[in-house]
Amino acid sequence: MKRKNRDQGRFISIKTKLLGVILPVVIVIVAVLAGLSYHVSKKIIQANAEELLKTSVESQAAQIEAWLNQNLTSFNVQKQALEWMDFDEGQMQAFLDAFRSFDGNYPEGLYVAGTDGTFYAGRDVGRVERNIVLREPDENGNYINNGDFAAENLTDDKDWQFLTAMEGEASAEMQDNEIFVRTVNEGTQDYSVQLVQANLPIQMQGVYRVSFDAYADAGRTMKVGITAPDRDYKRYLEDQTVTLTTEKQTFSYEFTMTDNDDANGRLDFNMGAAGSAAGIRIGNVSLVKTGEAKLTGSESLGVDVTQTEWFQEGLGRVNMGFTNAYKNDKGEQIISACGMLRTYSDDVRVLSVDLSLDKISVYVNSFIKMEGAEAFLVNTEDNTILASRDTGLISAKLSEIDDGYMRAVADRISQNELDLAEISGNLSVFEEIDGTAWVLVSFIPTKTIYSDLSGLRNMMVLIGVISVIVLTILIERIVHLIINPVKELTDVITTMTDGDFTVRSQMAGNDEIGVMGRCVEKFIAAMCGMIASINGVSGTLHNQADESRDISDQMYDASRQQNESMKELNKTVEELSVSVNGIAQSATTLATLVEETKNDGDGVNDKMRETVDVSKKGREAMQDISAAMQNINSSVTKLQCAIDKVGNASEEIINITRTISSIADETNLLSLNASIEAARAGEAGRGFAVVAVEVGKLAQTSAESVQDIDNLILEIKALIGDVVKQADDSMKNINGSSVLIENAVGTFDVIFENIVSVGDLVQQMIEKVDRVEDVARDVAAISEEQAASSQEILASSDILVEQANSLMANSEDVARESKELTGSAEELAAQIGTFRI
Amino acid sequence: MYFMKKRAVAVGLALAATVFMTVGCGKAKTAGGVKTYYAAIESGAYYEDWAGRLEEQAQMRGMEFDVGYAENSVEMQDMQVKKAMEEGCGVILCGPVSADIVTELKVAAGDLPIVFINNAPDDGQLEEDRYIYVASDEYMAGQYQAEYILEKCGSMEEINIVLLKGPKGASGTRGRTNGLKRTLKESGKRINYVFEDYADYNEETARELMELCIKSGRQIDCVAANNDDMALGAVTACENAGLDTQSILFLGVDASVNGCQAISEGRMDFTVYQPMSDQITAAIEAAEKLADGQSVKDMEYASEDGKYILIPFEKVDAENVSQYK
Repeated sequence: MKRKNRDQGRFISIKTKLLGVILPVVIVIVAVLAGLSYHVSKKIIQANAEELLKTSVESQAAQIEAWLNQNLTSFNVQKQALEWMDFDEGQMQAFLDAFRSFDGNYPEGLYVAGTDGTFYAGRDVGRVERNIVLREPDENGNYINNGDFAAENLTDDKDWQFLTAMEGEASAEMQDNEIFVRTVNEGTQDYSVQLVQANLPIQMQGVYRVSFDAYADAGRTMKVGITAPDRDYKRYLEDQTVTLTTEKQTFSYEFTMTDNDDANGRLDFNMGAAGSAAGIRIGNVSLVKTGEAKLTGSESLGVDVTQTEWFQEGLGRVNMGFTNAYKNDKGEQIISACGMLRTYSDDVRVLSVDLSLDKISVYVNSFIKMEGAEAFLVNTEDNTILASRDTGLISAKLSEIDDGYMRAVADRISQNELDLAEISGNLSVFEEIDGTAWVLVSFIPTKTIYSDLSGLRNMMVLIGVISVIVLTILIERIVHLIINPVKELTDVITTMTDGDFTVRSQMAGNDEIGVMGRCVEKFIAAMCGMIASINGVSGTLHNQADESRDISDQMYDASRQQNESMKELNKTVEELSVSVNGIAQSATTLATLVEETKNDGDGVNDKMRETVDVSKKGREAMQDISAAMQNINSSVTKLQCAIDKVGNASEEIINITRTISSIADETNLLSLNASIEAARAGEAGRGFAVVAVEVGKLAQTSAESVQDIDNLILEIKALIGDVVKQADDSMKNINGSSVLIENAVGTFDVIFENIVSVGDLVQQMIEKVDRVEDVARDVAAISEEQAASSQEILASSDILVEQANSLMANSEDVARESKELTGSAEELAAQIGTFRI
Repeated sequence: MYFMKKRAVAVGLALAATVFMTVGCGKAKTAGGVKTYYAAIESGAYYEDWAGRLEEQAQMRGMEFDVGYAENSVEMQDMQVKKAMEEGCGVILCGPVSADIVTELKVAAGDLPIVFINNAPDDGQLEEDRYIYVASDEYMAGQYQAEYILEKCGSMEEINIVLLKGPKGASGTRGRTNGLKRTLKESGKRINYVFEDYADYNEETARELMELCIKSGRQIDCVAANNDDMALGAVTACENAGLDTQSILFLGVDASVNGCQAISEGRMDFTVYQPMSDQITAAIEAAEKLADGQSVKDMEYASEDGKYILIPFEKVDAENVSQYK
């Protein structure tokens, strides 16, 4: 039912409409916001990426520059010292030595070369220990004490020492300027059985020879070497395997001391773990310095030093500056810092330092602040790559690399277009390294930048979708909360529309909907009161209509009865009229006959004298008279009868008029009642009241007419009474005449005598006939009058009938209208009934 | 309605701000024109000359002028600029002691605009119509030198050049050297820089370096120096070594008195004139504009980005040297 109501003209709820408007707007706004954020973020990310890449490269370049400058500064300091001190050759050598292995960036240290081919390089002399006192050798130049074991005491700490370790078991004894070592268990290590002499002074750059005589009880091996116990047993003379036989042989080994001076060199004879325990005899041991080694020099380079890159370039400046990168003889990428030395002679000398590019590679490859970015360092003078993560590219010519990007970079560098640019899908930044011809190129594939962006885009979409969902739910809930009272109100109104006012709208709220609810509540209350009162009125009306209908029904019945009665009356009056007419005619005829009789009487009188003459004729005439008398007698009898009938009819008329009168009275009374009821019915009864008044008037007229008729009838009755009396008299006279005439006829003879009497009698008779004539004339006149009166009665009766008809029609109308009224009242009641309160 | 009100308020505020600002500016002006302060690198004839000529220009424009010499001290310059700002200067003219302290100077100057002169800050430090650099177009000086060399040695396929540079990292050194090298490189000739070193704009240093260069015995076709003094030092060294200076081109920059004298004597061959008065006029004009909140973009020689005003050099050789003496 509700559905049906709502479906009128496609019902769409406010909620749907609101959501239908708000949600698309919200979605569009969210989408636009997300899109805008994405766009802005994209720009920011791009700008950031560019900025970051730029910063990264700038920082790398700064690191490289700083590193280069730092080194250059120290080189210049060293150069300044060299120039200022004006060293002699030895001092210069020492100065150069000091920087060998001094700094990890230039482990080879400084070197100086002259156009005359001289070359000085720092030597690897290790840590310089000050105050090392090297003892002098004996008169033979031998540094070994007790080389012939003649005065050796193995138990003291001096000179020779015999040691066992690591499961070694052995003993030693001096025999004939030799030492004899008898091994019981050779142990697990070569030093398990050991003969050593420490405190041997070994001078750097010295060339030494170790020699000794040795033989064994059986063929076996041992090891000999010179080690540095203070320098982690570093070998100055690497361990030499000595193959011994039973024959005494002299063994001799040479070595060059490359280390710094050491006062505590040690000669080791290692006799353990040699696969044999045969006894060994050693004698005549010596360590002699045979000369000094010259470790460095142009010869050692194997090339003409003046043709080296660094020398050539060094001649081109005084302040230390960097050469291009090049490969040194070890195949390593290096750069040299070089510059001409200010000298106070004609010598032209160049100071140079080799710097490995490792550090620069670290800066180039590792100091990239941006994930996904790469960098490489290009020397713009020859377009070679100095550093790159891809080691295969190092020292490759940029323009010769089979790579579109690299060639594009080469183009740009050669055109000196070093602004940030996107090249072959890579965002590229160029940074010149101050003080060099180098350009650091850093690049990042733009798609790497955009990969973040796609993540961001997904995030945006996700956030967008989540916001839309959350907003949708939120809005739906809010709208629901706000709209719900409206829905309730709608239900209330819908119920109300169906006539049910029993519903209550309980609206709390201070908004328009709350006000609406409260108004509806008030409206329902007002409607309930109104309907209740209408219901009461309609009940009353219904009852009254019912009553009215009953009354009008009754009235209708009455008027119908009256009508019928009136019709009957009319018929009767008509009949009366016909009868009266007949009487009148008869009376007229009677009068005429009476006149004729008079005339005849006159003739009789005249002819009485002739009667004797014509007695015969008279007798015949007498016979005619007798017959006529007979006729008159019967006519009078008839008249009497007719008059009697008139009298009876008059009685009946009187009866009828009484009935009519009583009906009229009743009608009048009814109409009075009806008027009262109609007045009560108010406007609806107004028509009815008019009818009722009319009916009343009619009834009165009827009564009056009936009264007239009554009076007339009474007159007629009186007249008739007279007529009847006279007729009786006539009758008696006639009867008397007849008897006389009979007697005359019988006593015609006496007629003569009696003629005079007869004449008298005739005279008398004529007088009486005159009287009869008057009566007859009166009767005729009265009859005519009566006829006219009965015509009038008839006419009145006709009107009466008409009025009765119209009365009946009216009361029929009244009855119908009352019925309608009842119907309306019922309908009203039914309508009111639909409201439930 | 509400929004209109809001807008009205905003417009009102903007108007108020404008009026306030206008009043603020007006105040500075009524006090006898914009006050400007020249923070010079050091005292000495060169910068004192600059100061004098700047003051002259400033007074012509009705500006107040004051000067401070930082004596190559970063701290002193920083202090001077800060003080100038506190004393109500409208704009600072600054020859930064070092390009590295520009950020510090900007902070010291507060909201004041700075017109840098004498020494170039890094490009990234400059800002359109706020921190600008007025100078000669250093690159052009090098370019003119290179063009002269190419003109004179047009027949040679290989040119041996001694390049004497100013202080390492100085803007003039970089611009002039790049101008020279790039222009030469574009010629396609084989260019040998037989000697290239920093002689710090100093004649004596240049002479010493040149002596060492000569000692190396290399072939020298021309000596290009970043300024005239260094070129003269090189000339002296060559003369002392008994070289035929006529077969060697000596090129300088600045058209200094000595340089021009040397050219007219035939000892030097070429220099470029740095129109200092143009620079000074431009610097003062730019200072006035910036103090007034105007843009310098419509000025002559202003760069498109509004950060530089670079005055072109003029070539000077034996033919026109008399005009510059």
